Amino acid sequence: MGTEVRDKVVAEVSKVVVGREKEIDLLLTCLLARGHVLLEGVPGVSKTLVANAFSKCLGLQFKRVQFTPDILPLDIIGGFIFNLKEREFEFRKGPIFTNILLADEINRAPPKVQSALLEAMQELQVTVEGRTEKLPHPFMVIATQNPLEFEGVYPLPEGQLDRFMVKVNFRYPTEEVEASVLRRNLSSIDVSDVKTVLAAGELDALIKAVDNVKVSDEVLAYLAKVAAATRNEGSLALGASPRAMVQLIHCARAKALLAGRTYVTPDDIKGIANDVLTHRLSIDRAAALKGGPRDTEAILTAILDRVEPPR
Amino acid sequence: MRPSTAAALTFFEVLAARKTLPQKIVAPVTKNVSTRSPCKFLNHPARPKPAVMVSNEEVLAGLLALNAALYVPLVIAALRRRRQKVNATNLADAFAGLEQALKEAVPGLPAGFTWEEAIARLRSSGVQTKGMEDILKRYEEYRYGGSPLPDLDFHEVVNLANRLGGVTGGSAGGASIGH
Repeated sequence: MGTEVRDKVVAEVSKVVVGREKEIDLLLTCLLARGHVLLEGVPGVSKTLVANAFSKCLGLQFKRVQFTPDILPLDIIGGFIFNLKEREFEFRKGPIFTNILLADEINRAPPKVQSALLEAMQELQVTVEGRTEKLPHPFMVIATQNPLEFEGVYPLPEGQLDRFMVKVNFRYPTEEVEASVLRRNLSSIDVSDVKTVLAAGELDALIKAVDNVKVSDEVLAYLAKVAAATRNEGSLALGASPRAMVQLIHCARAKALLAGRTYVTPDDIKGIANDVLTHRLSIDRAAALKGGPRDTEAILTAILDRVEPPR
Repeated sequence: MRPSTAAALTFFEVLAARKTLPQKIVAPVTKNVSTRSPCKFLNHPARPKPAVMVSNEEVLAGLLALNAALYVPLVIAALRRRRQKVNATNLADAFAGLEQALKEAVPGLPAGFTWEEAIARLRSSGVQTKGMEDILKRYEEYRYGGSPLPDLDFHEVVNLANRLGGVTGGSAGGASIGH
C-alpha cells in the first residue's frame, strides 16, 4: 500500500515539477511521520511549486504565508476581532488553520513570529488570550528559507531548527534536468493540472499505519550508538538531541512503510539520517579552525560508516 | 657622396660581411681520455680471499630451493582458501558467513555497512547477486521484523560467500565455516 501511494504521489507532483523525486518522497515521509519540513535553497528552485503541488495531490487544504520583517503573530495565528453585529469579540482563525502551511521565507520574519509558529508546530494547537484551538489533522508546516548568506534574514536558532523533522536542500538541478525544466516551461504550467491521488481516509490510514511499524531492540540500540557517536565526535560542538533521535525513528518508520515493509531496517535509518540530523548538528569552530571538517553531512556520513549496524 | 653617407655604407658592408661568417665554430672533437681510474675505490688493492668455486648448477639449485621455500606455502594457503566453503545449516548462519566473507573480500567496505549497501557494492563490481534480493527480504523480516526464521533455500547466500573466497571462523549461532 505504502509503495503504491508513494509512486502515485511522486508521479503526480512530477507532472509540474521535474527532477524533485527525492524531495517529494521526503515530504511524504515527513507528513506520515507527523513532522514538519524546512526547505532550504536559493530563490527559483521550485520550493513553493513543490509544496503547492504536493498538498494538492493529497487533497489537503493548503495556505501560504509570505513572511516579511513586519509580519505579526496575529497575521499567522489569528486573533479576536470585535463583531459589531453581535457586539462581542470573536476569534478569527489565521492561515495556520490548514493542513499544509507554506511558511515562505521563514527566516525573513522576526524571532517573535517564528516562535509563535514553532510553538504551534510543537503543540498542534494555538492559544490566544486563554482560548485554545486545535489545529486540523494532519498538520504540516513546510517552511522555506534562503541560505543564510543573504542579507535581511533572522537565522533560526538551534532550538527552533530542532523542531523541523527534516531539512531538505533544494540544490540546483543537473544539466539534464534543467533542460527538461526549460522544455516544460515552453508551455504554461498550471498546478491545477495536479489531481488528488488519494481517496478520502487513505492518508489517515497511512499515518496510523506508521505507528504499527516495528522497530527491533537491536535497531534501537544502533540508534543509541549513532546518537552517542555524534555527541562524542570531536569536530561537532552539538550532537544529536534525544528529540532528534525520536524524530529519526519516526521518520525511519514512515520510510519503511513507504517501502512496503512493517519493520525498520538499518538501511532506513542510514537512508534518512542525513536529512533528519544534519541541520541539528553544529560544527565545533575551534576544531574547524584547526583544519577539521566543516560539513555536518560529511561528518555524519563518516559516523554512520563507523557505527556497526545489526546484521 | 657625403662622408657621413660613405661611412654609413662602409659600416653596413662590414656588418653584412660579418654575418656571412660561420656562426658556429666547430671545434675538433677530442676524446676525454683520462689516465686515472673513473672510480677511486676500484684502485684499492683487492684483499686476498680464499678462492671458492661455485658451479652454475649449484647456484641454480640454491635459488630454486629459496623460491620453493618462499612460494609453496603461499600457493598452498591460496589453494586451501579457495577450497574453504561456507557451510551453513540455516539462513542466519548463511548470512553470518556472508558477513565475514564480505568483511574480508571487499576492500574499503566501511564497518557500518548494511546488507543493501554491500550487495549494491558487489553488483557494481560485477559480482552476480541474482536471487539475493528476495532472500535478503525474508532474512530481514526475521532479523528486524520479528518473523520466525524462514525455512527457505539459501544456497544463493552460501554460493555468494564462497565466491567471495569463503572464510574461516567468525560463525554465529553454530555456523560451520571453514571446512
